[in-house]
Amino acid sequence: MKTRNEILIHLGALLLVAALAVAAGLAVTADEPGLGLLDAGVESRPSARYVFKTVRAAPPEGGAVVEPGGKGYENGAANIVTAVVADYRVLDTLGEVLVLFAAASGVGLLIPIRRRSAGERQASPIVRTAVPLIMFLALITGAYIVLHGHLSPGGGFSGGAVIASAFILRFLAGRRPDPRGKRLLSALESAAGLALLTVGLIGLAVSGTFFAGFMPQGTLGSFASGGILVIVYTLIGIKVAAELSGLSADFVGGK
Amino acid sequence: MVQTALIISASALVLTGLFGVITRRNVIRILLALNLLETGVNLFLVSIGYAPGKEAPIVTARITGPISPFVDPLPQALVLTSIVIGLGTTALALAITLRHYRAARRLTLEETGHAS
Repeated sequence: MKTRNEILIHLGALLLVAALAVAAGLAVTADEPGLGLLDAGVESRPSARYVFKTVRAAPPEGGAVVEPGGKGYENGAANIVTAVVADYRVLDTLGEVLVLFAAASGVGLLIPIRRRSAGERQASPIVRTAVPLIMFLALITGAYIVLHGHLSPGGGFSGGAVIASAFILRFLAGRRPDPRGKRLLSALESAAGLALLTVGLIGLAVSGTFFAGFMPQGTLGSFASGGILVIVYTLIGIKVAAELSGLSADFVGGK
Repeated sequence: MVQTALIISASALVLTGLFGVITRRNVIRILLALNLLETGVNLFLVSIGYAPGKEAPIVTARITGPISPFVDPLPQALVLTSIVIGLGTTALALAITLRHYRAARRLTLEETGHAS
């Protein structure tokens, strides 16, 4: 259905996109001092503080430098991105978890569970045999990624997504989610959310700041390091895994 | 140089997504275009944090000295948030699309009110 309106919309969109492309090109190629996008080095940005505070005792100007394996740093997580997400800006992450919770609840509200007919499509025996094995591997990988978020790339969100992918695989192989499992998932999700808030409140009780670290930092690079970061990210991993599994169960539909 | 290439790719993704969002009528295609746009924004944020010759912000035994040898970790943390929020919004939008399809039996957005 090509109307004249549609041609006009296409032309307008092309013009807008072209204008924005020119603007982006100008911004990238600007090279006057102070105007270029890429002028500020990492050292002159706020994140330099995160980098130094995470693994060093003192800010860059002056103070003793703590090397890996030493003690006396503020956070002690080898992975600085995780330190920012799950410790320094954990309040933002709490909000993010709430947004994900709201989206999952919205999906559950918008897709009412419908009764399916008895004639289910079954996957082939090969798929049905292989799925538990692959699920097992995916669960182990996911748990590893969740637990090692402070040492290597990964963490609660990515590991939770890997764990949820195991359940999505089971749904794809033809297994319908049963109501009991869904109730268990939402109970698990609520428990993890409450535990997350409890960790924040313990920090508030111990040192007067919400989500303040109340555990020792440990040795940089070892598993027992990073203070409350491991607990926070594990809880987020459980919550995200339960949420995404429940989300996909909603889309697949139940009995 | 790498950074310029990354920013150009990010702009291309954003502009493609924007064009798709404006011109498509199929809801699924609009959502795909929206995701393209989001990927472009994420790529742009990560490329802002890039610095030539620096490493991923993970402390290993090799890294010593007072000067920060890392790329900017803050945009990466932001992008992590952005990806998760994008997943949530896409899931919610797909649920709304499913509702729309069940009610209207079509996936396109049409003007209602006058014959076409």
